[in-house]
Amino acid sequence: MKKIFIIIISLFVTLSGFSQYENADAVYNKIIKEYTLHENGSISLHYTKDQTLLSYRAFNSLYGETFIVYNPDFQNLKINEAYTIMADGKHVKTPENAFNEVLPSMASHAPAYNHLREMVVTHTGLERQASIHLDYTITSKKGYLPFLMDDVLIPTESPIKDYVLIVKVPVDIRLNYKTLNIRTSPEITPLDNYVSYMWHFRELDAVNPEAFMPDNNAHLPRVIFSTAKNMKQAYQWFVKNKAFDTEITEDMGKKVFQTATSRADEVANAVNLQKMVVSDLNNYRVLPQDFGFKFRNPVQVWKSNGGSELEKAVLLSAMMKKSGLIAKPVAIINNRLYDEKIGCLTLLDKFMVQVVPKNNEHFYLSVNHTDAVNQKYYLKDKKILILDPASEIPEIITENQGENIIAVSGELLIEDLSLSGEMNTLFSGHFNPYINIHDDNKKAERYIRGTDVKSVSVVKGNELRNELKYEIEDDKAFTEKAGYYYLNIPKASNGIDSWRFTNLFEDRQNPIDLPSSVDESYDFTIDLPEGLNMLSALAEINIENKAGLLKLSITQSGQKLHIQKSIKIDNGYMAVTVYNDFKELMQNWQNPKYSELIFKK
Amino acid sequence: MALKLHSFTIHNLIFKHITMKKWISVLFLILGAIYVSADPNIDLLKAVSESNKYADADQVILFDNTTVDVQESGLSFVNIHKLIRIQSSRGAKNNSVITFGYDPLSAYVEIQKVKIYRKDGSIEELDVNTVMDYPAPARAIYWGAREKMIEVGRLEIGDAIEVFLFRKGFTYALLKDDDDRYIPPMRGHYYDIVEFWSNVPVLKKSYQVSIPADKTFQYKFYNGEVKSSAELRDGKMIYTFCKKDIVPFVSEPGMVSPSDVAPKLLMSTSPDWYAKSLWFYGVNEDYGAFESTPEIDAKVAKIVKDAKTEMDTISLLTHWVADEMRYSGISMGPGEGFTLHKGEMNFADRCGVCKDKAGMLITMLRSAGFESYAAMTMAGSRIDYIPADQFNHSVTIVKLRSGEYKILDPTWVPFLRELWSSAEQQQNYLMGLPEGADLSITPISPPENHYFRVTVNSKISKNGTLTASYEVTAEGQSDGSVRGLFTRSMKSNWKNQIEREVLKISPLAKITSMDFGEPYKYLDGPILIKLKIEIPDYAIVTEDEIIYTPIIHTGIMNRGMAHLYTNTVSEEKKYNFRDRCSRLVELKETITIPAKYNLTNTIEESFGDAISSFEATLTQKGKKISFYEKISLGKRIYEVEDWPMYRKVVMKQNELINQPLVLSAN
Repeated sequence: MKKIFIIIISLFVTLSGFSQYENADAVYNKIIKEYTLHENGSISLHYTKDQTLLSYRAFNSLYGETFIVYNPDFQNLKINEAYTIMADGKHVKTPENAFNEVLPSMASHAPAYNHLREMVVTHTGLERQASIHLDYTITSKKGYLPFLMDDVLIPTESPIKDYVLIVKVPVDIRLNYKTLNIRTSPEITPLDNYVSYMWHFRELDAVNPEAFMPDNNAHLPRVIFSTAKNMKQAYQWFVKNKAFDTEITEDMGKKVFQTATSRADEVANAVNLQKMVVSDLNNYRVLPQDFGFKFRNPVQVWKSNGGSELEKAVLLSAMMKKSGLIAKPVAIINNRLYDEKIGCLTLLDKFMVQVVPKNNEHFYLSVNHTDAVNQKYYLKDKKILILDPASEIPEIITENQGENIIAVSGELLIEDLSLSGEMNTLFSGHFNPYINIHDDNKKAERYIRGTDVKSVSVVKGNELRNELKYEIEDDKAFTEKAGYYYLNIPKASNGIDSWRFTNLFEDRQNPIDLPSSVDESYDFTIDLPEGLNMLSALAEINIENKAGLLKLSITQSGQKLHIQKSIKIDNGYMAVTVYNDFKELMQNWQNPKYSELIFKK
Repeated sequence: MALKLHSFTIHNLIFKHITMKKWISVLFLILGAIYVSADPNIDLLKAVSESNKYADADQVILFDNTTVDVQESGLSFVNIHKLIRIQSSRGAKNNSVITFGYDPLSAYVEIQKVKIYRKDGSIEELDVNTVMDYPAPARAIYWGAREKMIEVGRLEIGDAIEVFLFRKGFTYALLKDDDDRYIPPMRGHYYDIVEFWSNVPVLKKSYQVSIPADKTFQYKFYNGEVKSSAELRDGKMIYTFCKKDIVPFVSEPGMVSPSDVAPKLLMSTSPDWYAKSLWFYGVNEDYGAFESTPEIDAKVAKIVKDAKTEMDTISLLTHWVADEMRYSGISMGPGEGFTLHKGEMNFADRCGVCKDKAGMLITMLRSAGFESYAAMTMAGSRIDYIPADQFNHSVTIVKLRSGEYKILDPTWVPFLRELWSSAEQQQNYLMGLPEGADLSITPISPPENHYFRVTVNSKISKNGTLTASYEVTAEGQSDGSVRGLFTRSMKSNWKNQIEREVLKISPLAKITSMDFGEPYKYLDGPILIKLKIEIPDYAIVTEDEIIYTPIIHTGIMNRGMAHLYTNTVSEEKKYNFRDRCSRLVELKETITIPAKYNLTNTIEESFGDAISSFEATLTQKGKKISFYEKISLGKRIYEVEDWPMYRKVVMKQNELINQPLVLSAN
């Protein structure tokens, strides 16, 4: 009887304890992350988690294994404790064969990074209501990491009851830090020869991933810290790497001159070199922090025929310099996370190349894919750190995003169910496929969708804006369905629809971060032949709200149709409170009634 | 080019360095140069470089020769010798490293030599001391697989790589000592499956196997022709197979596995499938894989306590293993491969790969008093009749009281209302029985077992607003597809999963009521989703007409109708093709329309054959319009001859999806 009573009480406590997590697959009861810069210069990370699994998915797909990447040449991994407490309280020690070292997939086929390892801890005895306990320490040798630094995102996809973050440094070392998006200050305590900074977070909600969330989850609670004096010191250490000054070999030079063949066109030369690096070299998905922020020089990268994003950026800029271009590798940092007082190199998020032509606006090129658009327009809310060892002071810039416009106007004619006419288009900023069009004017054809382009000519084109004239001739413009004729209104293929923001759910939890602001408009007059009647409703919709402006107008005068559509969102970053306004704009913009017209003969 | 470089070298040597003391060295160098220039690879490479035939290829394999020496024990020594010419920068990129995977418990691999023939004629030999030996990248199966890799580095178009690889061993084996570890588990036997097809051009592929003459050896070449020979030499039979000018295999959308239709050689010393069946039975029984423990017995008793029938017990145990023992393989060490983990280990770990899940179920079924065994199968492709090990999956067999063997798959049925996944119908398998067994094939599962039904009651208003309530229900594999909206996503996302489906109808659609029950309780009954929605301004409304797409034709929940994604461009098929499963689709919509409106057209269409059929009706009775559509697709693996009707059915359904409903005012 007593036993039954205890079971009932335990069950009640367990169920009531988790009832608030009924929409969660799992809950972290406790996470402790403790970083220590030891007096001998070594650095350790001590991680502990206690997590209860609530659903089948939690152990089938989400949390059955823990993956720990480390570099055995410089780091030591020690699993201190691993066990599972099953639902009935049974203690299951994780067996020896559940600890397996593998090569992290990012290092696959990358000889230079072949000694990285990933410890896979397979948690055994898992079931619903089981709790995983894992405790491990990674110790890095002195010198492997230049500073004790990290950018710690606190919430996860499962709720957290209790999260303790500790950073310990010797008393004579200053720790620079900041806490973002949550009102929690560290408790600072002297501890023997150390000072301990402890942040304690409680009852953190789960993060539900949504489309177009802010880059780097920059809106979520996090702590950024570093023992570097400031970003300047971290930068100076980073650019000390000899890779930045390595001269390319004669062979590489030969390749440069075979590739960058144009005498006058610096943009073409830069793009050709980019294409060569993107298509000819393997891409290793290794991040600088996976390798102690060290990397190989361009000659080593070239000879191995593969490199990380950073290595390829350094290589590409070296090759561009050889061709006579002014080019520098750059690192990208999220503006919302950057702080010049905190020298945290894990914030270096992406690497690309800045090219400064003599007679043109500077532009940015990726090293992992070819670009249609100057990558500057993908650097909204970003800091750009120029990686130049010649410069002692870090040069950090932000790029003015300018106007991001698509404006299409056209005089079109329908005859015998064929659509013809001319369209004038303007593409600017984020929507300006300058690089593609510069590479080949014919590529401009692909930027109009919904009709056949007979020809296209560049009226005026530069890095800032491209004005194009399209000649349309489409004898398959109409689709016949049930005796009715459907016509798609032509549109730009790279406009807001190309972002595919179609899941406009009722609720949203996170801010919206669009790739750019948008000012997209269409203005068509279409001459209809006698006997072809439009059935689609005439429309006049004007919406102006906190998210932006929308205008949809379909009018008809005699056999002349006039269609105007425009959407304008000035700030691509919108708080959750603006979501309903944004949804209203997008629902109307995406309404097929205003993109497909129906006719009857 | 190569010869020119060597001539220049020889010229220099002869005319600038002739001293009596060096005559011998010079002689050796000349001989070396003659040897090099006589290198047949150079001639081969020259011929390819002068040909336009391979201009579109990224790489060309000039030869791919494998020689195998099989010992009495079944242990094999394998030498592989390849020459690959780089034709494009992508080819150069893909060959910048040479990697071979192996299982250290049962195989030894050595990259013996790698030579690079540069297009300028120079030849480099890589230092094999730089070969890296490391744990392979892995997910889901952590059995200690390793890779050996040598860095080739930058290659240019026109360069070539010659590789010499040695391997001894087997894929899986019982570990003993020294070379014993490499002896195959079916001791004394040898088998191999050799693909004579490729995704890149191969000028010549040869496979030579030398086998003790007293071994029974059977082989068959499938899906093509090969030049073969057999000769007796030093007490061994030497079989040689050679094929020239292999062109890249061109796949068809939705086709069966290339190994079902492309040239391949199967060989085996095993006399028949019965021998393999007996061995598989024996190896696991000898190991004691299915011994129960008091803890397992107690668990089994608890699971089956409410079972009323034999099938209740089997079902409860199968689904317990399917759901509660997750797929994640950790190694048992020696014996990993064909040996199923012991019940005790599985029960404690609550994880394993297919064979371990099969083993856990066997242990539990035996604990419950059933006769149960393991079986092997090949998910994804056909098993041909030569008894070479064409298996990639393991399942469970239970003997019913009637004496009939029933096949169960705890790996493929988590949250699925089946005991054997019908996504594995028409699939070969081999039971490991005490009396032995021949190769079998799983039966076709009728489409009715996998129905997908959408029933809609909707109302279109004169202002164009659509209101609808609808139910989606499904069974079998179709149930799994629909239920996957929930079981394959995070709980916090379930509501959005439904909303995502509704927003496919229109961006303006609003859900006014939603009920999807408890998706994890799949044994309680088929999935049932009930929804009420409203879409303002949905229809085009003119003075005379209302035009819109009915709900059932919006592609709603098309995740339950995988056939809609079939590529129907081609009128004919060269190869057999497959769907995910047989399927019955029934779409029903009853529409209330405004008074004084009439349907402009009706539909009454049906066609089909014994395998694929289509039926649709669209009728009006007063203010009610009834739409009914039924699609029946009868198999998973279809023959080439089935294609025209299958295609017609799929095209018809897709055509109707795009058709508007037109109501005209009286």
